[in-house]
Amino acid sequence: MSRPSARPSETIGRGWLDDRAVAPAVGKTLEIGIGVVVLALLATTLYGSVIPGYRTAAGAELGDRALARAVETTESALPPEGVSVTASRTASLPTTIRGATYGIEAKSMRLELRHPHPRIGGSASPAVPARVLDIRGSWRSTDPFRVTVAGNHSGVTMTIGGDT
Amino acid sequence: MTTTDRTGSRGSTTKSRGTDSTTQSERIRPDSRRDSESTSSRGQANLPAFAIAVLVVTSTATLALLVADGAFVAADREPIERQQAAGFAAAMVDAESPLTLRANVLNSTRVTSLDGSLDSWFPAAAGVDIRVTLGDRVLVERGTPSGGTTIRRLVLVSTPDRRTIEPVFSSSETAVTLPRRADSVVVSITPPDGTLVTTVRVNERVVLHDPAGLAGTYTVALSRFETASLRFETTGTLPAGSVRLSYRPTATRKAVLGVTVDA
Repeated sequence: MSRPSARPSETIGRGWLDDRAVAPAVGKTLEIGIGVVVLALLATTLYGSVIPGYRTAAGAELGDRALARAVETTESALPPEGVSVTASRTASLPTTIRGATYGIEAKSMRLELRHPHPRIGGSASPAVPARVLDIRGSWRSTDPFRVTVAGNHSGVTMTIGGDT
Repeated sequence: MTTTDRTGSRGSTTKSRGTDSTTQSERIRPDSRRDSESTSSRGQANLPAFAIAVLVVTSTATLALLVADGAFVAADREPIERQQAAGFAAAMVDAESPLTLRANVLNSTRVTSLDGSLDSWFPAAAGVDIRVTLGDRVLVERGTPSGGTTIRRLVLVSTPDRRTIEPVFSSSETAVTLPRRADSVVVSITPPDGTLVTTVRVNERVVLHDPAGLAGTYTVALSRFETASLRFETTGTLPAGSVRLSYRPTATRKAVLGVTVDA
C-alpha cells in the first residue's frame, strides 16, 4: 500500500506502520473469531438439543398415530359372527419412526408400541366385543402390518404380525 | 489506505525525491496521524456491521425455532384417545352390541344398566378414563375424563311400549290393521260358543290355521317393514272382546351418544 522505499524509514517509523496494519488485522481476527463462535454455538444448539428434541416430538406423535392406526385396523378386522371365521386386514404403517424400526406387540388384549427411544411408545386396547378371546402376536415395522382373525361363533382370536 | 496512497503519490509527483524529505514528512505527519486514527476506526467499522449480521443471523434462527415450536404445538394431537373414543362409540352402536336392538338403535332399558355392565360388555374399557353420555344424561363415568376427546354419534333410542286393542268385527268385516308396526303380535282368541275361528291371515298370508277352531293365545311374528293387517276367518260372528291383540310398538327418539376418553 505504501512504499517504504520512497520514504526514509527513520522519519516515518515502524510504529506508525504497525499501528496502521494492526487495526484491520485485529478487526478481521475478531470477526472470524466471533463468526466461528456464533456458528459453533448455533450448530451446537441446533444439533445438540433442538433438532433431536424436534425429532423426538415428531417421532412420539408419529408413534401415537401408528399405534392408533394399528388399533383401528384391529377393530375393523373383526368380521361378523359366523360358524367359521377367518379374515385378515392390512394397514400401511411407517417403516421407521425417528430413523429407527419399531415393533407392535399384542399382549393381554392390548397393543403396545415398542421403540428404541424411551419417549416414543404407548399402549392402547382395541374396543372389541367380548367374543374376541385373545389378541396376540407381534409385528416388526419392516413387514406389512396385518391382522388375522380366526375362530368360530363362540370366540375368535386375533393375531397381529407380518406373516400371512 | 487510499488517502494515504494518494497523499504519498501526490507528494512523489509534485516534489522531487530526496530534496524536500523533511518538509514532506512534516507535512505528512499531521495528515498521517489523522489518517492513522481514521484508519483504525474505519478498520473496526466492520465490527458494528458484523455485530448486526450476527444479531440478524441469531434472531432469524431464534425466530425459526419459535415458528417450528409453534408448528409442533399446533400439530399436537391425541390420536390414541381419539381412536379409543371412536372405537367405543362404534362398538356401542354396532348391531351386535349388547346396547342395541339393531345397528344404531339403542335399547333404552339396556342403556340404563350400562353403568353396571360396562366392564363385562366392553372389556377394553377397563382402566380407561371414560364418560358415556346420552343427550344430557351421563350414563357412565369412570375415572376423571376431564378434557379428553369426545366422539358423538347420532342414535335412536328405542323404548318398548305395550298396546292392546280389542277389535270390533262386523259380520262382513273381520279384518283389523295394527295402527303401529311391531315385530310380533300376541293374538288371544276366545270365541263364543258356536263360532269357530279357523284361520288368521296377516296381509293375506295364513299364519294360524286350525279347522277345529283356534282358541287361546298365539304369538305371531310380523315384519317390521310393512303394516300388518290381520283377517280372521270364522264360521260365525265374533262379538267384541272375543279377539284381543297385544303388540309392542317401539317408540324411538333421536339422541346423541357421546363417548369421551381421556388418555
